[in-house]
Amino acid sequence: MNFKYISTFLLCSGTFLLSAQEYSFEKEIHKLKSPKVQLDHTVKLSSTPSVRISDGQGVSKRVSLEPGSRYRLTFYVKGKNVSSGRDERNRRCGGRFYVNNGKKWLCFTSRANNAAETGTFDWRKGEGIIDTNVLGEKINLNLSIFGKGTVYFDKIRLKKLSSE
Amino acid sequence: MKRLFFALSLILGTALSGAKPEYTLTIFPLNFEKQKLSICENYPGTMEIFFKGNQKKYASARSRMILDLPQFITLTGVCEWNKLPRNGKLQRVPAKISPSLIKRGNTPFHRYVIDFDPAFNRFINQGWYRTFIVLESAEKSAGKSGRAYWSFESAGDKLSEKSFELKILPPLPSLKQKCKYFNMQLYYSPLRMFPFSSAIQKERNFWDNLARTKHFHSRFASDVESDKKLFANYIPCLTTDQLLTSYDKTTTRLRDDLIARTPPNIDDKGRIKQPRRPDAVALLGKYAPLYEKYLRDFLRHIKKNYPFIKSISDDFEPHPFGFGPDGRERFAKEMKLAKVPTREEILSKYEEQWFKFMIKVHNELLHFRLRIFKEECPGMTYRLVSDNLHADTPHIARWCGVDVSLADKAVDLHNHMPYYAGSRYFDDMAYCMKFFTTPYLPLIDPAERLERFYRQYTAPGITQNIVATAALGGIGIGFWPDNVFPGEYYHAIYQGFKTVSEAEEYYFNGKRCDQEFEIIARNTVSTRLADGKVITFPNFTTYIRYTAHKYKGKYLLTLFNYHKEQPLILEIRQKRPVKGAPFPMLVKVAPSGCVLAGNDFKHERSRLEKEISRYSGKHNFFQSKSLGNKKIFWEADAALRPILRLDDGISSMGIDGCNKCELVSLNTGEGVEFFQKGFAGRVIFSDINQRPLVFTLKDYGFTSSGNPFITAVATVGPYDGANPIPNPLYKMVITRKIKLQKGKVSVTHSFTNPTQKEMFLDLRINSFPASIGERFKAKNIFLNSRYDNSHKESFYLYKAPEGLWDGKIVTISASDEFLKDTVYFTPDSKFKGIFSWKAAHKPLRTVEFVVKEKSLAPGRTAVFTYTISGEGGKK
Repeated sequence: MNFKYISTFLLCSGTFLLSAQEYSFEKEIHKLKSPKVQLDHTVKLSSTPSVRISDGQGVSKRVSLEPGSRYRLTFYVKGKNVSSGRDERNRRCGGRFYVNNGKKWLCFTSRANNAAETGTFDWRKGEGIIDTNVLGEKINLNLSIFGKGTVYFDKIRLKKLSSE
Repeated sequence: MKRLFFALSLILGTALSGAKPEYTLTIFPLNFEKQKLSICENYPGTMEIFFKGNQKKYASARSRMILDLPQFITLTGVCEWNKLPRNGKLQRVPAKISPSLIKRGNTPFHRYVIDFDPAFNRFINQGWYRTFIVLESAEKSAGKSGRAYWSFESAGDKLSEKSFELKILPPLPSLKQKCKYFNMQLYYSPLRMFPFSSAIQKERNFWDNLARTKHFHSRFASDVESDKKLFANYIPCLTTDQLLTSYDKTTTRLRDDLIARTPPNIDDKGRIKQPRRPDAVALLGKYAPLYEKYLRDFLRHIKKNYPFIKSISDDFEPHPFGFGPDGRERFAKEMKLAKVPTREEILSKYEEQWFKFMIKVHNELLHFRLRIFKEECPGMTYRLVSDNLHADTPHIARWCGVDVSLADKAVDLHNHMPYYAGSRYFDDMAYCMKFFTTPYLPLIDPAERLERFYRQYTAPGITQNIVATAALGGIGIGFWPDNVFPGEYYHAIYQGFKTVSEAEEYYFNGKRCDQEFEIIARNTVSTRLADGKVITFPNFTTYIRYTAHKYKGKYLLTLFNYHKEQPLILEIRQKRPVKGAPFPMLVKVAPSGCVLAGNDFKHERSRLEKEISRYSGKHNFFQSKSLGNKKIFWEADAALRPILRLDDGISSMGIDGCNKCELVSLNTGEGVEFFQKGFAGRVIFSDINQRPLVFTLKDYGFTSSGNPFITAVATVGPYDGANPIPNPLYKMVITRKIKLQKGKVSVTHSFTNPTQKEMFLDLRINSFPASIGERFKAKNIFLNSRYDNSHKESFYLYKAPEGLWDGKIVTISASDEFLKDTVYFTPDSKFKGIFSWKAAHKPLRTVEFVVKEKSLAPGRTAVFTYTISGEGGKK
């Protein structure tokens, strides 16, 4: 194998791994085949579509991260008529970004104390820290809404943090 | 013939009647009481005369007053307060009075012709020479009222006749029990110096029986013998200004000698501060030996010649001046500056550092005096009189520059000057008690001859001050400068001491337990909003104060209502009910009132329950309004603060209508928020002595064009506490109108000068879009006033020719990779510049439009407007 090719590949991969990685949910949405979980080519932040979820639905994506590392999760969320209160299963209504390993669940939103996204609002940024020492390397990114209304998620990124 | 005679008489009369007077004669407290005087039936009514004018013309003339009084009042006498050398000795001479009975119309009057001693004219304009009028009412005259008339002439120049209303109040009761622990301090009682024995006895009957422990101040060394008799059982004190006094010839000579031999205190304008006092740093440095000698000589003289003096008060109001060479040199040394700064340099570059430096210097000076005092006068007490600490910032008043807490362990008594009433008095008293371990006996000045201090008080406010002082741990209360008040004040003082006498055991021997209780106003209306939150109006929280004491298993609550118009029905709840405790309890507190409640002070519940039941029905306080798709309604923020939301169908704004009446939310239709956690429309005066304005919501609705609006009003009050400088903007009325029109907010302030004096506006109108960019956690804020100023720290930018601002739109924006929020501020042409404050470590900035040196003539109004709009979206 060409040594130069290998080293360039490794260098790019390393660089890629240190910068934020953006995640697409296209495959997962396609597999789900739900009209209430779709890519939206109109309501979006850039050229790539956002994820539109309505009325109690959700979509999940499995990702693999590096062991023993910490990542900063960032995403943008927009809402339309998202209800508050509780749904028919007595869950608190609203949009949420969950990160879980099947057993342990973390919730992130754009609001203080990670309160659920409710109401009608323009794009907001949500953030959180994911520690693979706690959750493990294989995690699920879960976009959801409980209750009525529509949420849009866009620019879902994970950036590995240097040893801080 | 008759016509000729009349004309000649008129000409002659005019020639003989004298020219227009070149003097003024003012009578206190009539001048502040709209020419009205109330007298208690069993207590003398005292007034003071101020005679000012052309000294050359009147100094060697004589003066006469004619005073006509209704039959139920008599003139006891008119007397000077100072003794003067006459016939080889010091004498105090009352005016010569010639009484008679006359009729005015058909009504009989007492007429008194008062011929003043020549000294009255000789010392015209001299503030130290004081003259008083003493009146007494007839027995059983309570309830009567009438009019008194007076005329005055000096050197043949007559004032036209004037009159004032007289009212006789009920007699002052006697306390069943004097205060055992709570002290009373009376600086001066001019009346006790006069040769009017019946009036003096009435005065003593009241003041001598308020408290067991009483303090007074000996004003003149020539009165020592009469002081001892007239103030028997009082603690005699000597008033000094930084241990400088003119008590007698020797102390005057020692003082003047020290002042002559030391550099003077230089003020911030470069002038010698009057009255002239030595420079503080000089006294601590080169002149320390001279100063020490002065202090020892002075104290030894007092101790030897006036052994009856038990206490000396050090009135210390130096101001943070000291701009002479000694002070600036020491400052430069301590700050490690390359050269000694000028006064101007200090004021422009080192203002804060200089203030802290002078606090330190003043503290050193105090301790210098204290050390020598304790060596020379063991057994005497040293009381420090200065400006008290304040609950609001700045905690140490900028005008005084003394941190009294630094001398706490060294002084024997704190005797400071919270010269005001209201909740501010309570809060400042409570704040001081956090820092004082030495007893605190605050002074109030309801008899102050300066109007801006006089206006701070009302009769109920005086009662509240007395009770609050005791409830918060003060050992007593004092009255400066003397006890010349309208009659209502004596009743208020009686009521205050009565309340304290009933509660004293709790205050002085009990323990505070405020945290066990909560106090809720029940005569309020509440509304449950659609989201389940409850908002309350009026919000009386800011008007309620209380203390709770526990003594021998029993509770006492002392409740204060600082609302001037509304009574409060308060519910006292114990957070963890204690068996046998009489809570919950309902108590009614009158406007500006205070009440005791507890095991020994019960209140009837059923009547009050009936009274509050009418607040639980339907009401209009949180009225919603609508016009087509435009709406105005109340909501609550996270802190349950009632917010008035005005929605014009495009965007909405929120106003904290029950608090500061500022814009606290501007929201686009898509929920992008710009002002939450911030505000717009806040008026900030350049003068740091101005207190924050209190706006009241007056109106809200839709304009004739259908735009939602609110109107709020504030009035500028006097300066704080004992600050001797009058507030030049006092009584200015400010009207704020905030209107929402097609997504834009207009903020208009109208400043009206209702006085007879010119005012100058020097202020900023502050907008703080604290939420800008927050939705995407922006770390950058850009300020653009045609030039990008985002890199600058806080700065001023003025319009051309002084500066670069073009006077047009100012924008603040924040952005990230995808989104950008912008707020636009468009001022009218009257603003002179902009100021922008930048937070040190956060992405926050303000936009403040500056009004500078704008003259406002009497009766005129100046109006300033700017608009705000916001835009949030993709980059």
